[in-house]
Amino acid sequence: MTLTSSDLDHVIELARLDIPETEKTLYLAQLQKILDSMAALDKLDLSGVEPTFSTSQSVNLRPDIDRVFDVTPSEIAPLWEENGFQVPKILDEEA
Amino acid sequence: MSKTYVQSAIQIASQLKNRQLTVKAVVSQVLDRIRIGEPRIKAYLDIFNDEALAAADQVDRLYDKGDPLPPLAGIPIAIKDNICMKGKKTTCASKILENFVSPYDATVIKKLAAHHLIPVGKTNMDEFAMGSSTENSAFFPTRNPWDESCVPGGSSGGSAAAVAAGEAILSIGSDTGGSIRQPASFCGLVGMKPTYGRVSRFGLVAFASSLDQIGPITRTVEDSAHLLNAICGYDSLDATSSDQAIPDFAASLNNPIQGRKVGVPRHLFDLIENAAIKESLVNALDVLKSDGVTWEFVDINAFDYAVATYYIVAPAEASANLSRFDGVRYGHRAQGVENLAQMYKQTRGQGFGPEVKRRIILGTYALSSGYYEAYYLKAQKARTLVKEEFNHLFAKYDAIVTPTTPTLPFKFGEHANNPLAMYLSDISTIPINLAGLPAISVPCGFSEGLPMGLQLIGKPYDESTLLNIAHQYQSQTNHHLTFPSQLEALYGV
Amino acid sequence: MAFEVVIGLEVHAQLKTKSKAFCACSNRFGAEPNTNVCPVCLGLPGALPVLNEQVVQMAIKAGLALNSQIQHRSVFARKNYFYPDLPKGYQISQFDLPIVLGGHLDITVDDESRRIGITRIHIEEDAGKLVHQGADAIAGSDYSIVDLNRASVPLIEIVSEPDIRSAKEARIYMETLKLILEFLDVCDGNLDEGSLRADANISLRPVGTTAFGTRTEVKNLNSFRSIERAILSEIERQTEVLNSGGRIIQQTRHYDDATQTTRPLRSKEQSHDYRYFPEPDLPPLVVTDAQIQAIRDVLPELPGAKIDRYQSESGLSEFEAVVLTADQDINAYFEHCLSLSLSVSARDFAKWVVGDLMSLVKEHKQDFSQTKVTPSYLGALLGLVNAGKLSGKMAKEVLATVFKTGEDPKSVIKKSGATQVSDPSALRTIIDQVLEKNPDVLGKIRSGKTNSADFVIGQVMRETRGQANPDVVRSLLTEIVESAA
Ligand SMILES: [Mg+2]
Ligand SMILES: [Zn+2]
Repeated sequence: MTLTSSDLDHVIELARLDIPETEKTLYLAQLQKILDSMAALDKLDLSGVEPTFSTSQSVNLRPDIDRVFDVTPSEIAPLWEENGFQVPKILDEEA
Repeated sequence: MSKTYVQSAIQIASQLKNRQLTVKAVVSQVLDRIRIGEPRIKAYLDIFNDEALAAADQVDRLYDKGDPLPPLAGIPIAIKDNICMKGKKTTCASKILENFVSPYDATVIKKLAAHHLIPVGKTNMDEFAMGSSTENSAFFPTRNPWDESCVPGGSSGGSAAAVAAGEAILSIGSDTGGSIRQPASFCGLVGMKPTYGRVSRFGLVAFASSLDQIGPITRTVEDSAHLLNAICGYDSLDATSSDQAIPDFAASLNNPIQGRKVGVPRHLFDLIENAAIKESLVNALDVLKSDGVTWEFVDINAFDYAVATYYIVAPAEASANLSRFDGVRYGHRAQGVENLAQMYKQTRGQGFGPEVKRRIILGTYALSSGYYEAYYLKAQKARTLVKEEFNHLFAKYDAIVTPTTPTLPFKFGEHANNPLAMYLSDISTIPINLAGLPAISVPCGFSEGLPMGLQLIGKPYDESTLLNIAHQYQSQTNHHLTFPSQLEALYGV
Repeated sequence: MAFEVVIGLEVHAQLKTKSKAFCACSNRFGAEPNTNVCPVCLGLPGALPVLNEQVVQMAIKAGLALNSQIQHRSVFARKNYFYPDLPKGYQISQFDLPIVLGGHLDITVDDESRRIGITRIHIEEDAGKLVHQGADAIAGSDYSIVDLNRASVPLIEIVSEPDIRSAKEARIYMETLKLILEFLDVCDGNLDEGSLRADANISLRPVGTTAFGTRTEVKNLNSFRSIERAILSEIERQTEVLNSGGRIIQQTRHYDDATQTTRPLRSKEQSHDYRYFPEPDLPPLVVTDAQIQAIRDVLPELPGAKIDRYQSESGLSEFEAVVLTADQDINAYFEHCLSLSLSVSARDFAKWVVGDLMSLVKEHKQDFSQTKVTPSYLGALLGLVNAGKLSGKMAKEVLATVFKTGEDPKSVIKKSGATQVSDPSALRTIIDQVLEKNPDVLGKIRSGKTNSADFVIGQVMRETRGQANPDVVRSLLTEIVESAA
């Protein structure tokens, strides 16, 4: 598949990255090359094959017990105000 | 004092036990080596000088009391910087976490502490474990102790270089597509990637969650078995951690390997261009043969499509795993922004290096609307084939044997503008992570003064067989006893 | 043109667990901001989620109560988007393989039963809370503060089929659902604290047609009133648009309670690409038939079944049965009364709980979990009434006092001397005294003047300060009148 520069812009926006125009050209070429190499998968007969999302065999659940943790969020926060993480103005867009 | 750093951890531990050596002496010597070697090797991002010495005193007191201690008590160990240690920086060699101090310990760190191992520092790596050379560290590259113009491999390059240079006796790395085995091979060490689920990932900063495993990098197979015993086991904090029974990995090291059968992927062998690597593999097979192991070429296609599969699955998972680095709760935050959207983009734009961005973009693309089926889902189906191909072989063979890497350690910058070539250097190691299998790399010779590695791949949860065969191989060879000679001059030994 | 309204609701219910969905932090409402947090729900590097087994139990309970199929294998997925209240940059939810599929909920609208289909129920984690500074809402605020106490609190999202046909039906659906979740003890139903929130998908189509019109989604409705009003206003808006020849744009809208109108949320088109994929940190959730059966075996009786039973077994009126199941507190109170095994009948209890006690509770803006009139106090009071030791009127007064003070009704009665006098010899003496003072009254009674008899009874009551049993007085008087004839 061909990666267009608008595809790239879309993906960069989804991933919340800031990438200068000059670097985009380089990325576009490199990514296209990588995507081309994915053609190796097109040779496989995958009809009727179930995906393997994980090789983990067990399912571990935890009991419903609550406890208090020794973590002080204000110590790791880039910007802390009163009792919460401060974030800059959120433009009125949907979560 | 004798050169403890060229000895195995188990050899040192026996001298600690009979008090011929003190922990303090061992730790001091390692710290000395770090002081002298680091300006050139640059294996570490952080060094715990005072804490290590204090911990050494404590363990010495325990030894003095004569109480029985775990086999590796008092041994200095280096920790890859993507494993959280309470009160210590955990940077993942990224600008985005440059000043992040972890408020909690990874399960593996707690286990090491319970076994009285002594962390001496956090090691350099490719940023967020993305890379095969440690050149992707945001801070500086680590040099290969065997040849400082070469990379140490990656992403656990710092962990491997530290042990190879005698700046640690043991180290811990993480392996998502070869990140323990490849640097171990490049640095002439033993690197073990356990079965997925064997070692808790709690506190390991995720690269690709379904592929990541923590494992030991050591000088000997015996040390690897002991260190694996120390760090593995079910953990209620990791839903993917396995409750499979844990054998004593060290107990079966000396079992006879007579009658074992191993398979060698023919097509992969043919693909490799480096004659010395091929020859070292054949020689290794001869050694095993002399122990009564039979081998034959086998047909397996997984090596042909595993890299493509991996470079969809791993970046896809990574793209989500790295979303939490958003400048809101911890880590780097861009300054002078007007709104949240700018804060996100600039924080992440400034905080991530080029390879990380490349993979986030690739992974986001592979998951995005309209491409999920064509890339992500297809790759996960291909992964099923990888798993099945190996399962099929394990019905007949005890292990599959390959060269760990298709090339010798390469020069800095060799793959700088060709990420794809870099990706292909993991061709032997990647399928193992996709299938969740255990594999070990052991030193199997030198070419042009650079180490080469032999990879043994095993059935799920059958690390014992791999360690057994590898240990028997190591008992008959001395590649692992060799020490980089130019370093001896550096240290004035 | 006349339109038919088509509504589907997505209801998020917070589960009443002790700990959060994927970590052991407390799931308690109202703590100091950012105190119920840990590496997992803060989304710290390296932290991993582990699913709370109670969350699974509760989701299955809800599924069974809504006549759904519990899935033996379900899968968690990551829903990827950036927002400051979402610590990991993705929400752990269930996507194409949820734990519960199908089912229905029967509701009663204007005395008619309506069956609303359930599409699915899935488990997910809540996000944190944002407090906007410098303005009431996001719009106009200078910056915001993030509180992650609520991050990773367990939710079930119950998605209905587009079977709802009016704003009122939507409200009743939500009310009925709330009641069931409360009876199941999986949700505290506290709307003020956000325990139950709904998103409404609303569209119109010309009456008689079957194709769906373009829908809008009105988000985050967290009271019964706002559900009904938001839907009404959105129906009105869509009707106007369609009648003026316009077309509906598929979009997410926000309801403003102050203006009672909905307005579109500005959103970048691409922000809807959530890139769902299976959560690699959580293996698929496997539930066995035995586990499902074990939950089915202990499933509590639900409101609908209770209403039937109260009428058929206990002889309650439909009105009483409905009122006594209308919320969990009153029902728990009533069931407690029934469990006392007193000689007081269910009907007597029902009469008083629905009648006098309910009036007091409402008047004082309490609920039945708070009232000082414990079921045993009420039982004791009604026992005295049945035994003829207390008149109904006196019982009301005693009830009011107990309600106020929480005192034992027996001691209230003792203090006020308010027991009923039913002793015939004591009453005969008093009647005789009254007749003596009013010598002509017997004759009037004999000539058929009933109000003269009432006069005598009234005098006796006055003499005894209301404690005389009027029935006994009346029969004694009849005896006197007849014997003297
Ligand atoms: Mg939802
Ligand atoms: Zn938590």
